[in-house]
Amino acid sequence: MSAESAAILDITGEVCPMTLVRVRMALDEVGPGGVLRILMAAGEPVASIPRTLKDEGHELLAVERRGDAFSVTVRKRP
Amino acid sequence: MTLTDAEILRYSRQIILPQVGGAGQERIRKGRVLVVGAGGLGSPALLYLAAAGVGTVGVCDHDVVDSTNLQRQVIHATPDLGRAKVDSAADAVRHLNPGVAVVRHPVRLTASNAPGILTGYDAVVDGTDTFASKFLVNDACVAADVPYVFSGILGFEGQLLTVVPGRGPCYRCFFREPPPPGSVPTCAQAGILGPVAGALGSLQALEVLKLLLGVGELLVGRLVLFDGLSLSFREVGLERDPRCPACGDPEHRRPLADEAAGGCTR
Ligand SMILES: [Zn+2]
Repeated sequence: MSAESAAILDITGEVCPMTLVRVRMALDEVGPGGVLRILMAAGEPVASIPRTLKDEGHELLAVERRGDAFSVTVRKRP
Repeated sequence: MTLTDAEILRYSRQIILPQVGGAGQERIRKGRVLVVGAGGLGSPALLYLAAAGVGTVGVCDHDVVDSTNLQRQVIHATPDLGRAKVDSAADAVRHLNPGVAVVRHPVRLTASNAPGILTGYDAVVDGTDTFASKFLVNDACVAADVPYVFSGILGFEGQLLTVVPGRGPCYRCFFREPPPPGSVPTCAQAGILGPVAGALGSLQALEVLKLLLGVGELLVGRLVLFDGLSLSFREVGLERDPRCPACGDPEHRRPLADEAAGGCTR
Protein backbone atom coordinates (compact mmCIF):
# COMPACT_ATOMS: atom_id res chain seq x y z
CA MET A 1 0.00 0.00 0.00
CA SER A 2 1.40 3.41 -0.87
CA ALA A 3 1.86 6.12 1.68
CA GLU A 4 -0.62 8.25 -0.30
CA SER A 5 -3.56 6.05 0.68
CA ALA A 6 -2.55 5.94 4.36
CA ALA A 7 -4.44 7.71 7.11
CA ILE A 8 -2.43 10.64 8.45
CA LEU A 9 -1.97 11.65 12.06
CA ASP A 10 -0.11 14.77 13.17
CA ILE A 11 1.19 14.57 16.74
CA THR A 12 3.89 17.22 16.40
CA GLY A 13 1.95 19.39 18.89
CA GLU A 14 1.57 16.68 21.55
CA VAL A 15 3.82 15.64 24.41
CA CYS A 16 4.20 12.27 26.13
CA PRO A 17 1.98 10.44 26.99
CA MET A 18 -0.60 12.07 24.70
CA THR A 19 1.63 11.33 21.68
CA LEU A 20 1.16 7.59 22.13
CA VAL A 21 -2.49 8.03 23.14
CA ARG A 22 -3.19 9.76 19.80
CA VAL A 23 -1.37 6.97 17.98
CA ARG A 24 -3.46 4.36 19.79
CA MET A 25 -6.67 6.12 18.90
CA ALA A 26 -5.64 6.45 15.25
CA LEU A 27 -4.57 2.80 15.04
CA ASP A 28 -8.00 1.81 16.36
CA GLU A 29 -9.48 3.62 13.38
CA VAL A 30 -7.36 2.10 10.60
CA GLY A 31 -8.15 -1.56 11.35
CA PRO A 32 -5.88 -4.63 11.07
CA GLY A 33 -3.35 -4.43 8.21
CA GLY A 34 -4.15 -0.76 7.61
CA VAL A 35 -1.46 1.85 7.09
CA LEU A 36 -1.02 4.96 9.20
CA ARG A 37 1.40 7.82 8.56
CA ILE A 38 2.35 9.72 11.71
CA LEU A 39 4.02 13.11 11.73
CA MET A 40 5.99 13.48 14.95
CA ALA A 41 8.59 15.78 16.42
CA ALA A 42 12.28 14.94 16.57
CA GLY A 43 13.72 13.88 19.91
CA GLU A 44 11.68 11.84 22.37
CA PRO A 45 8.68 11.05 20.10
CA VAL A 46 10.70 9.67 17.20
CA ALA A 47 13.09 7.93 19.58
CA SER A 48 10.30 6.14 21.42
CA ILE A 49 7.14 5.71 19.35
CA PRO A 50 8.50 3.72 16.39
CA ARG A 51 10.21 1.39 18.87
CA THR A 52 6.97 0.89 20.82
CA LEU A 53 5.03 0.17 17.64
CA LYS A 54 7.63 -2.37 16.53
CA ASP A 55 7.66 -4.04 19.97
CA GLU A 56 3.90 -4.44 19.74
CA GLY A 57 4.14 -6.28 16.42
CA HIS A 58 3.28 -3.51 13.97
CA GLU A 59 5.38 -3.16 10.83
CA LEU A 60 7.45 -0.01 10.33
CA LEU A 61 7.31 0.81 6.62
CA ALA A 62 9.26 4.07 6.62
CA VAL A 63 10.82 6.69 8.88
CA GLU A 64 11.58 9.87 6.93
CA ARG A 65 12.78 13.30 7.99
CA ARG A 66 10.39 16.14 7.09
CA GLY A 67 12.19 19.35 8.05
CA ASP A 68 12.22 19.51 11.85
CA ALA A 69 9.82 16.59 12.14
CA PHE A 70 9.61 12.96 11.10
CA SER A 71 7.09 11.00 9.10
CA VAL A 72 6.67 7.46 10.40
CA THR A 73 4.65 5.04 8.28
CA VAL A 74 3.39 1.93 10.01
CA ARG A 75 1.27 -1.03 8.99
CA LYS A 76 -1.04 -2.18 11.78
CA ARG A 77 -0.64 -5.74 13.03
CA PRO A 78 -3.10 -8.02 11.17
CA MET B 1 -20.18 8.41 19.80
CA THR B 2 -16.43 8.96 19.70
CA LEU B 3 -14.47 10.13 22.70
CA THR B 4 -14.16 13.87 23.29
CA ASP B 5 -10.74 15.51 23.61
CA ALA B 6 -11.40 15.99 27.33
CA GLU B 7 -12.12 12.27 27.70
CA ILE B 8 -9.03 11.29 25.72
CA LEU B 9 -6.92 13.45 28.04
CA ARG B 10 -8.67 12.34 31.25
CA TYR B 11 -8.29 8.63 30.46
CA SER B 12 -4.95 8.95 28.62
CA ARG B 13 -3.05 6.81 31.14
CA GLN B 14 -5.29 3.84 30.40
CA ILE B 15 -5.94 4.56 26.70
CA ILE B 16 -2.17 4.33 26.27
CA LEU B 17 -2.32 0.66 27.25
CA PRO B 18 -2.46 -1.52 24.14
CA GLN B 19 -5.21 -3.57 25.81
CA VAL B 20 -7.40 -0.47 26.12
CA GLY B 21 -6.88 2.13 23.37
CA GLY B 22 -9.68 4.37 22.19
CA ALA B 23 -11.94 1.43 21.32
CA GLY B 24 -11.50 -0.05 24.81
CA GLN B 25 -12.27 3.28 26.45
CA GLU B 26 -15.47 3.45 24.43
CA ARG B 27 -16.35 -0.06 25.66
CA ILE B 28 -15.73 1.07 29.25
CA ARG B 29 -17.90 4.13 28.69
CA LYS B 30 -20.70 1.95 27.28
CA GLY B 31 -20.43 -0.35 30.31
CA ARG B 32 -23.20 -0.62 32.90
CA VAL B 33 -22.05 -2.06 36.22
CA LEU B 34 -24.07 -2.72 39.36
CA VAL B 35 -22.34 -2.73 42.74
CA VAL B 36 -24.39 -4.53 45.38
CA GLY B 37 -23.38 -3.16 48.77
CA ALA B 38 -21.68 0.23 49.18
CA GLY B 39 -19.48 -1.04 52.01
CA GLY B 40 -15.88 -2.14 52.45
CA LEU B 41 -15.67 -3.92 49.08
CA GLY B 42 -18.13 -1.73 47.21
CA SER B 43 -16.35 1.52 48.16
CA PRO B 44 -13.09 0.95 46.28
CA ALA B 45 -14.90 -0.92 43.50
CA LEU B 46 -17.26 2.02 42.91
CA LEU B 47 -14.45 4.58 43.05
CA TYR B 48 -12.18 2.76 40.60
CA LEU B 49 -15.02 1.96 38.20
CA ALA B 50 -16.11 5.60 38.24
CA ALA B 51 -12.54 6.85 37.88
CA ALA B 52 -12.04 4.53 34.88
CA GLY B 53 -15.03 6.10 33.16
CA VAL B 54 -17.61 3.30 33.33
CA GLY B 55 -20.64 4.98 31.78
CA THR B 56 -23.32 3.81 34.18
CA VAL B 57 -22.74 2.68 37.74
CA GLY B 58 -25.58 1.29 39.85
CA VAL B 59 -25.45 1.18 43.64
CA CYS B 60 -27.73 -1.11 45.61
CA ASP B 61 -27.79 -0.70 49.39
CA HIS B 62 -30.56 -0.25 51.95
CA ASP B 63 -28.33 0.91 54.81
CA VAL B 64 -27.30 4.28 56.23
CA VAL B 65 -23.75 5.44 56.97
CA ASP B 66 -22.69 4.62 60.51
CA SER B 67 -19.50 5.77 62.26
CA THR B 68 -18.24 2.17 62.50
CA ASN B 69 -18.31 2.01 58.67
CA LEU B 70 -15.78 4.78 58.12
CA GLN B 71 -12.71 2.75 59.11
CA ARG B 72 -12.98 0.81 55.82
CA GLN B 73 -15.85 2.14 53.67
CA VAL B 74 -13.79 4.86 52.05
CA ILE B 75 -16.47 6.14 49.67
CA HIS B 76 -18.30 7.63 52.69
CA ALA B 77 -16.96 10.45 54.88
CA THR B 78 -17.73 11.89 58.30
CA PRO B 79 -20.29 14.46 57.02
CA ASP B 80 -22.24 11.54 55.50
CA LEU B 81 -23.10 9.99 58.89
CA GLY B 82 -26.78 9.10 58.95
CA ARG B 83 -27.25 9.49 55.19
CA ALA B 84 -28.43 6.67 52.97
CA LYS B 85 -25.35 4.87 51.61
CA VAL B 86 -26.68 5.05 48.05
CA ASP B 87 -26.90 8.86 48.34
CA SER B 88 -23.47 9.23 49.91
CA ALA B 89 -21.91 6.88 47.34
CA ALA B 90 -23.70 8.57 44.43
CA ASP B 91 -22.41 11.99 45.54
CA ALA B 92 -18.86 10.66 45.87
CA VAL B 93 -18.99 9.10 42.40
CA ARG B 94 -20.35 12.29 40.81
CA HIS B 95 -17.74 14.36 42.64
CA LEU B 96 -14.98 12.09 41.34
CA ASN B 97 -16.33 11.84 37.79
CA PRO B 98 -19.34 13.85 36.59
CA GLY B 99 -19.23 11.86 33.35
CA VAL B 100 -20.60 8.78 35.13
CA ALA B 101 -24.35 8.25 35.39
CA VAL B 102 -25.27 6.87 38.81
CA VAL B 103 -28.37 4.75 39.38
CA ARG B 104 -29.44 4.39 42.99
CA HIS B 105 -31.25 1.29 44.23
CA PRO B 106 -31.98 2.13 47.90
CA VAL B 107 -33.30 -1.34 48.75
CA ARG B 108 -32.11 -4.66 50.08
CA LEU B 109 -31.63 -7.08 47.20
CA THR B 110 -34.19 -9.89 47.44
CA ALA B 111 -35.20 -12.83 45.30
CA SER B 112 -38.27 -10.90 44.17
CA ASN B 113 -36.62 -7.57 43.27
CA ALA B 114 -33.27 -8.91 42.00
CA PRO B 115 -34.35 -9.81 38.43
CA GLY B 116 -35.70 -6.30 37.90
CA ILE B 117 -32.70 -4.56 39.44
CA LEU B 118 -30.21 -6.63 37.42
CA THR B 119 -31.91 -5.83 34.12
CA GLY B 120 -29.68 -3.89 31.78
CA TYR B 121 -26.40 -4.34 33.65
CA ASP B 122 -23.36 -5.86 31.94
CA ALA B 123 -21.62 -6.92 35.14
CA VAL B 124 -22.13 -7.00 38.90
CA VAL B 125 -19.78 -6.56 41.85
CA ASP B 126 -20.75 -8.53 44.93
CA GLY B 127 -19.96 -6.22 47.83
CA THR B 128 -22.46 -7.76 50.21
CA ASP B 129 -21.68 -8.79 53.75
CA THR B 130 -23.81 -11.84 54.53
CA PHE B 131 -23.81 -15.38 53.22
CA ALA B 132 -27.52 -15.06 52.43
CA SER B 133 -26.87 -12.03 50.22
CA LYS B 134 -23.87 -13.66 48.56
CA PHE B 135 -25.91 -16.70 47.53
CA LEU B 136 -28.69 -14.43 46.33
CA VAL B 137 -26.32 -12.30 44.19
CA ASN B 138 -24.85 -15.50 42.76
CA ASP B 139 -28.18 -17.12 41.98
CA ALA B 140 -29.71 -13.94 40.58
CA CYS B 141 -26.71 -13.23 38.31
CA VAL B 142 -26.60 -16.83 37.07
CA ALA B 143 -30.37 -16.76 36.39
CA ALA B 144 -30.08 -13.41 34.57
CA ASP B 145 -26.94 -14.53 32.68
CA VAL B 146 -24.97 -11.53 34.01
CA PRO B 147 -21.27 -12.03 34.92
CA TYR B 148 -20.27 -11.00 38.41
CA VAL B 149 -17.25 -10.81 40.66
CA PHE B 150 -17.56 -12.39 44.09
CA SER B 151 -15.51 -11.42 47.10
CA GLY B 152 -15.75 -12.23 50.77
CA ILE B 153 -13.49 -10.84 53.47
CA LEU B 154 -12.92 -11.59 57.12
CA GLY B 155 -10.12 -10.40 59.37
CA PHE B 156 -6.94 -10.33 57.33
CA GLU B 157 -8.26 -12.73 54.68
CA GLY B 158 -10.27 -12.51 51.52
CA GLN B 159 -11.57 -14.62 48.64
CA LEU B 160 -12.18 -13.68 45.04
CA LEU B 161 -13.93 -15.44 42.14
CA THR B 162 -15.33 -14.27 38.83
CA VAL B 163 -18.49 -16.00 37.69
CA VAL B 164 -19.37 -15.91 34.00
CA PRO B 165 -22.57 -17.92 33.56
CA GLY B 166 -22.12 -20.68 31.01
CA ARG B 167 -18.34 -20.35 31.08
CA GLY B 168 -17.35 -21.85 34.43
CA PRO B 169 -18.47 -22.64 37.94
CA CYS B 170 -20.54 -20.36 40.15
CA TYR B 171 -20.16 -19.65 43.85
CA ARG B 172 -22.83 -22.24 44.68
CA CYS B 173 -20.96 -24.97 42.81
CA PHE B 174 -18.33 -24.64 45.52
CA PHE B 175 -20.17 -23.49 48.62
CA ARG B 176 -23.44 -25.36 48.25
CA GLU B 177 -25.41 -23.81 51.15
CA PRO B 178 -24.83 -20.97 53.61
CA PRO B 179 -23.32 -22.25 56.87
CA PRO B 180 -25.83 -22.65 59.68
CA PRO B 181 -26.34 -19.42 61.66
CA GLY B 182 -23.97 -19.28 64.63
CA SER B 183 -21.34 -21.54 63.05
CA VAL B 184 -19.38 -18.67 61.56
CA PRO B 185 -18.12 -15.55 63.27
CA THR B 186 -19.98 -12.32 62.64
CA CYS B 187 -18.07 -9.20 61.65
CA ALA B 188 -18.51 -7.89 65.17
CA GLN B 189 -16.62 -10.92 66.49
CA ALA B 190 -14.09 -11.21 63.73
CA GLY B 191 -13.26 -7.70 62.66
CA ILE B 192 -11.78 -6.51 59.42
CA LEU B 193 -8.85 -4.32 58.53
CA GLY B 194 -9.77 -1.65 55.97
CA PRO B 195 -6.98 -2.25 53.44
CA VAL B 196 -8.00 -5.92 53.17
CA ALA B 197 -11.39 -4.73 51.93
CA GLY B 198 -9.61 -2.16 49.78
CA ALA B 199 -7.38 -4.76 48.14
CA LEU B 200 -10.19 -7.17 47.33
CA GLY B 201 -12.65 -4.48 46.22
CA SER B 202 -9.99 -3.04 43.90
CA LEU B 203 -9.42 -6.49 42.40
CA GLN B 204 -13.16 -6.78 41.80
CA ALA B 205 -13.04 -3.51 39.83
CA LEU B 206 -10.05 -4.84 37.86
CA GLU B 207 -11.96 -7.99 36.91
CA VAL B 208 -14.97 -5.91 35.81
CA LEU B 209 -12.79 -3.70 33.61
CA LYS B 210 -11.21 -6.82 32.05
CA LEU B 211 -14.72 -8.16 31.44
CA LEU B 212 -15.83 -4.93 29.74
CA LEU B 213 -12.64 -4.78 27.67
CA GLY B 214 -12.59 -8.50 26.85
CA VAL B 215 -8.89 -8.76 27.71
CA GLY B 216 -6.74 -11.00 29.88
CA GLU B 217 -7.72 -14.12 31.75
CA LEU B 218 -10.67 -13.71 34.04
CA LEU B 219 -10.70 -15.37 37.45
CA VAL B 220 -13.14 -18.00 36.17
CA GLY B 221 -12.85 -21.45 37.71
CA ARG B 222 -10.12 -20.27 40.09
CA LEU B 223 -10.90 -19.15 43.63
CA VAL B 224 -8.19 -16.83 44.91
CA LEU B 225 -7.48 -16.89 48.63
CA PHE B 226 -5.77 -13.77 49.95
CA ASP B 227 -3.94 -13.72 53.27
CA GLY B 228 -3.01 -10.20 54.31
CA LEU B 229 -0.90 -11.30 57.28
CA SER B 230 1.55 -13.28 55.17
CA LEU B 231 0.69 -11.14 52.11
CA SER B 232 0.13 -14.16 49.93
CA PHE B 233 -2.31 -15.26 47.27
CA ARG B 234 -3.29 -18.89 46.81
CA GLU B 235 -5.45 -20.35 44.08
CA VAL B 236 -7.90 -23.24 44.20
CA GLY B 237 -9.19 -24.65 40.92
CA LEU B 238 -12.96 -25.16 40.65
CA GLU B 239 -15.16 -26.89 38.14
CA ARG B 240 -18.80 -26.35 37.34
CA ASP B 241 -20.98 -28.88 39.15
CA PRO B 242 -23.67 -30.24 36.79
CA ARG B 243 -25.84 -30.81 39.90
CA CYS B 244 -25.46 -27.20 41.12
CA PRO B 245 -28.88 -25.78 42.07
CA ALA B 246 -27.97 -22.43 40.47
CA CYS B 247 -25.98 -23.20 37.31
CA GLY B 248 -26.33 -26.97 36.97
CA ASP B 249 -28.20 -28.99 34.38
CA PRO B 250 -31.89 -27.98 34.08
CA GLU B 251 -33.27 -30.87 36.19
CA HIS B 252 -31.12 -29.81 39.17
CA ARG B 253 -31.85 -26.08 39.09
CA ARG B 254 -33.97 -24.47 41.78
CA PRO B 255 -36.00 -21.27 41.34
CA LEU B 256 -34.50 -18.08 42.75
CA ALA B 257 -35.20 -17.83 46.51
CA ASP B 258 -33.96 -15.94 49.55
CA GLU B 259 -31.67 -17.81 51.95
CA ALA B 260 -32.19 -17.64 55.68
CA ALA B 261 -29.85 -15.01 57.16
CA GLY B 262 -26.57 -16.66 58.15
CA GLY B 263 -23.30 -15.36 59.54
CA CYS B 264 -21.36 -12.37 58.37
CA THR B 265 -18.58 -12.68 55.81
CA ARG B 266 -17.29 -9.13 55.94
ZN1 LIG C 1 -23.02 -23.42 40.10
